[in-house]
Amino acid sequence: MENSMNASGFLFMASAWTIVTVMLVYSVYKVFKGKNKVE
Amino acid sequence: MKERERWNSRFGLILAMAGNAIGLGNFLRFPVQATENGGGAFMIPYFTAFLLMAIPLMWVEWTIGRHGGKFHHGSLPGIFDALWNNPIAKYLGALGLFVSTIIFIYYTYIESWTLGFAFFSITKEYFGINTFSGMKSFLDSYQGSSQGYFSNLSYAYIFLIITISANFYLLYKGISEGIEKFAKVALPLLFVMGIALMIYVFYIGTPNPATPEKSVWNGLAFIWNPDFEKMWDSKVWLAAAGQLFFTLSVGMGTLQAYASYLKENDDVALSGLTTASLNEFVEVVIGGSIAIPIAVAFFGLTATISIAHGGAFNLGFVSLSVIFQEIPYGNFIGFLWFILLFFAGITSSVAMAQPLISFLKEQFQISHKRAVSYIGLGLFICINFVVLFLKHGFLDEMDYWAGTFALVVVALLEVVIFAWIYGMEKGWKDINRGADIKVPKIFYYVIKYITPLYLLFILIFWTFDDAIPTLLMEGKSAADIPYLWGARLLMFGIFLILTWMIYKGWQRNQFDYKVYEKKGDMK
Repeated sequence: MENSMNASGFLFMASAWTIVTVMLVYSVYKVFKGKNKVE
Repeated sequence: MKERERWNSRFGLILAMAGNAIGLGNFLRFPVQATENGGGAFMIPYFTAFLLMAIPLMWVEWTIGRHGGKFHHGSLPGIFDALWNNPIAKYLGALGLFVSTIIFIYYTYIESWTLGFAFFSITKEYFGINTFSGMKSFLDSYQGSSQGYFSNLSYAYIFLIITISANFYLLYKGISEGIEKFAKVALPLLFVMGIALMIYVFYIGTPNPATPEKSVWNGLAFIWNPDFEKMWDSKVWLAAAGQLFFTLSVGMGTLQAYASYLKENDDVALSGLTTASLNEFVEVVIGGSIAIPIAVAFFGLTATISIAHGGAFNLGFVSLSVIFQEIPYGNFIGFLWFILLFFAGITSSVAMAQPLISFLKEQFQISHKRAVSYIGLGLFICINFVVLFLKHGFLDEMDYWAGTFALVVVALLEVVIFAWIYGMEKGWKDINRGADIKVPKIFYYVIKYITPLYLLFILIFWTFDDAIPTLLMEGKSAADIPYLWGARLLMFGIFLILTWMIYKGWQRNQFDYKVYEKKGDMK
């Protein structure tokens, strides 16, 4: 096993972080843009 | 019938739901699973399972919870009964009530360890015990598994009683005044503490320049460098699906219980997606950047692999407690870490009690306070078995059957009842009713065909791979076997009592759903 991070490792980390961050930002934006009260 | 409690705000509801989902597994289980199952390549089966199984289940659970709430049902027996006009439906739901009740019993004890270790960190109680074996012995003696630093279980009981009291205070206050208000404070705090710890871990970098291979960056490499060979191993795909089950708290009946306090036209699609997104961010970004990277930075790769193989508690409680003694302000950082875990734990455990509280209130018309008191008394009696017999595998036995295997059974039951018995046409309309986002039509087919098949495959594989050997107690020591039977007896007893209560509850209340449907939302 390689000790230091290789290009694929970085790519996987960057992609996974991007996917979950975009998902979070998108959904939280939609929540705040929508109605906040549960009515 | 009295009007049900409601969530005060949508934001509070989402935070409470996310608090339910975000637990110890996000910080301890995920990084261990990733390292053992292909590193970065693990994310391929992980996101596949997220799309095909986890998100569909999340939407199904929110939707059936809201549907059940329309008929004053907040637990799976009533929710299944409302979905399927068949006398057997409510008894199938008993399994959901059983799962959340059993997990609540042992999870509360694990949660109390985090509070205990937060106290031991800030007071530097374990400082001076700076070897892995020394800290393991500290933890074992705290749990009563061996003689060592602690001579008896008094500390374990003190923190357990504080933890139970905190849980029941929140439960006593109810949904909006207790759980929601607490989640509005605890979740943002958990986020801030998690990000602060992550930044601190990155700041540590390479703690000893003489050993540059021991660094946080190599820890991240350990988690993320992909091993594509593992992609051909079906166990890796099952491990990814299993991790999503644990992390999103699906198959437990807790999401449904929280969603039952929604109104008929409240959104579930966006709220469910937001809950899952919050959980995934905490797991993939924060959870993957603390425990393993810091362990590699201090112990090196080989030792961390062995620690990770020893399980999540070895990583979270033992190895990190050794590290906290070696870093500046280690007692404060340790306190922050364990309080973070405590917040993650308590926001999940209060959710686990909710289905049973709803069930007692709704089927037996007893007051909220009385329902909470009965459950508190029952928990305190049952938890003693877990505390006293922990070293004999009592907790592990409960965790396997209720916290692992039964989750998949419950999830499979609910998705089949929802998509095939209640009907996907009606179900799809329900998911989209009041929705703030448009759920892509492809999920209609995913929920109907792919999610049940995915779950069925997991169930069949787990049955042959794990459940049968566990049932036969293969590899267990003769000394532990009576205690494992004791755990099974306790679980079976609880299941029978719940089933009997369902029988009695339905004798008292004969539901006519058609009448309720005509009246609209019950007041």
